[in-house]
Amino acid sequence: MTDFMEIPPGRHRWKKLYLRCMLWFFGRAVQAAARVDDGVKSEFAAMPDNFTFCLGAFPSGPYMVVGKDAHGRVRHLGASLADRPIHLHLMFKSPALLFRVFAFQESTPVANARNRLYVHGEVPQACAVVRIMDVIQVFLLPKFLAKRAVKRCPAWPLKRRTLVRARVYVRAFGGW
Amino acid sequence: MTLLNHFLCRTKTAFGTQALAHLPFDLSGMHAYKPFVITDQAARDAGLHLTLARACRDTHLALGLATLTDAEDFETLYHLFADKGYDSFIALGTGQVVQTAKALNLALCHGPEKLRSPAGPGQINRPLLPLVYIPTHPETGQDTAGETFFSGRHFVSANLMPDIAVITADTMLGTPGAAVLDSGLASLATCCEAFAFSGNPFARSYAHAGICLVMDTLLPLAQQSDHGDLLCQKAGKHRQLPLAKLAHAAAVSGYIQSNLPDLKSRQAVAHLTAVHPAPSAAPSSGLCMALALVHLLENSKDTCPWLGKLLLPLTDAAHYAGVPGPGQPDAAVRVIRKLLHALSETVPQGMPKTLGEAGLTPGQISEMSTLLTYTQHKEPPW
Repeated sequence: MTDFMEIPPGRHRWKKLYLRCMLWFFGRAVQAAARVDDGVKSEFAAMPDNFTFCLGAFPSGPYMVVGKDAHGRVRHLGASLADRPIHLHLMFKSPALLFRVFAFQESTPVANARNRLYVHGEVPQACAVVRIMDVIQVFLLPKFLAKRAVKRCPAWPLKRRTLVRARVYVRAFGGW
Repeated sequence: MTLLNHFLCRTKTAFGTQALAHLPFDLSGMHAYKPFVITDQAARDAGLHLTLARACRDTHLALGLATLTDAEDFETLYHLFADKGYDSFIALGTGQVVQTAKALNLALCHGPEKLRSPAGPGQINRPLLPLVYIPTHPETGQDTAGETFFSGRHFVSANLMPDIAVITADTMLGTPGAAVLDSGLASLATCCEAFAFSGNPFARSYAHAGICLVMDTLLPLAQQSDHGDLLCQKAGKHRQLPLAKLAHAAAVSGYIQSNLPDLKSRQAVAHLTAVHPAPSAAPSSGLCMALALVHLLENSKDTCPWLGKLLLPLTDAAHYAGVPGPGQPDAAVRVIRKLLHALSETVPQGMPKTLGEAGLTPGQISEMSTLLTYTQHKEPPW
């Protein structure tokens, strides 16, 4: 007689909570860096006004939504995809794969090479978002972790490594 | 002149770290949200269904898990699938599990009466439900080929090939040395023959990958098999990746078999078993194929234009570049003979390395030679 059972989809509660916290802080750091760092500023300057992108995991998140408004100001718009058009989706194929990137087990380029994420939107803007992600990771992480998160740690001038980085941290915590 | 070559591989192969985590996304791309998992007792005992369930966490996939305990359960599985509204198959296992999943798929899409008579190429035209294949052992390539057997009947169609093959070290179970040897040699023979004789660039590129995978893993695995793993348990950490690579080679050889059904080394298995003085003591199918391959290569050394190139996947670029062109066919055959010799040393009771050692008389060998000859060699297109 065939042995049969049904397995409902389980939940990774702690992993999801960790990802929500990381994406929330990362989103605020993007907003902060867009105001104080020239590199991030120039990447956003090349994007059209009223442009919104999200980073998240298939099929049900968590997500991070960041937008540039009509005045060119960059804002972290929270974790909800509802009520606003999203022009660029950068999605990992499962929350477990997003977790590997945010737990620094795998860098973004390696995840990309292993076909972990898909993009719905324009490729040049997706490349710009990936470059912004790399800069933010270098700002937020100590060097030994940043080395695992990006392909190559950039050699930045002292001011950018210290003063700008501190301002990004303070603004990310404060949400300015 | 442009040559027309056909090659159809409708299976997407996902291999490596976290390959299972891609499965929910890939299934949703085929509008499959409620997969029916068919597995065997060994995979269930090793907890592989939990590994699969973990990969589906935080998704919408609810799995129905049926464990095969009896070959007579086909009707039960049919009704379970139809009554509970499943929309796709995951075959978590090899051999019987995959054959059952393919037959069930056929019965559900074309009606149970389709299984009453064999179906050849062109008789199963409509696509079937999505089928995902997750091997737990290296096999001989039949699981990924577009064919299945049900109650002694043979069904052939490209639609029977799995849609996705997920090959990962996490799902490899302990495999006895004999099965490793059988799988590796069968894959090697299929890939080498396709590489040397098919003249089809697509088949040759798959064959190149398959040969490299076997040459990387078969001998080290055979040498380890004395410290064998327990069956019905996950393979030891050091053996999981090589076993997965061998399973990958077997999957590749299945794709090749589906496109080149007239491979001589495959035909030689039935012939050798039929003419062997003691059919029950005949070598395993993988070994038969490897012995037939060596014989085939020896027969075609002077006529086959691709034979020398076989040295490249069998060894490496440095070795290939170091052997002058006219000596390459001999060198390629020598590498395969050397591999067989090294493998026979890992088997406690020894292993035949030629058709003569396998128990065939000189008369039977010359009869095999007639079978194992390509009368026309396809010229390379450039």
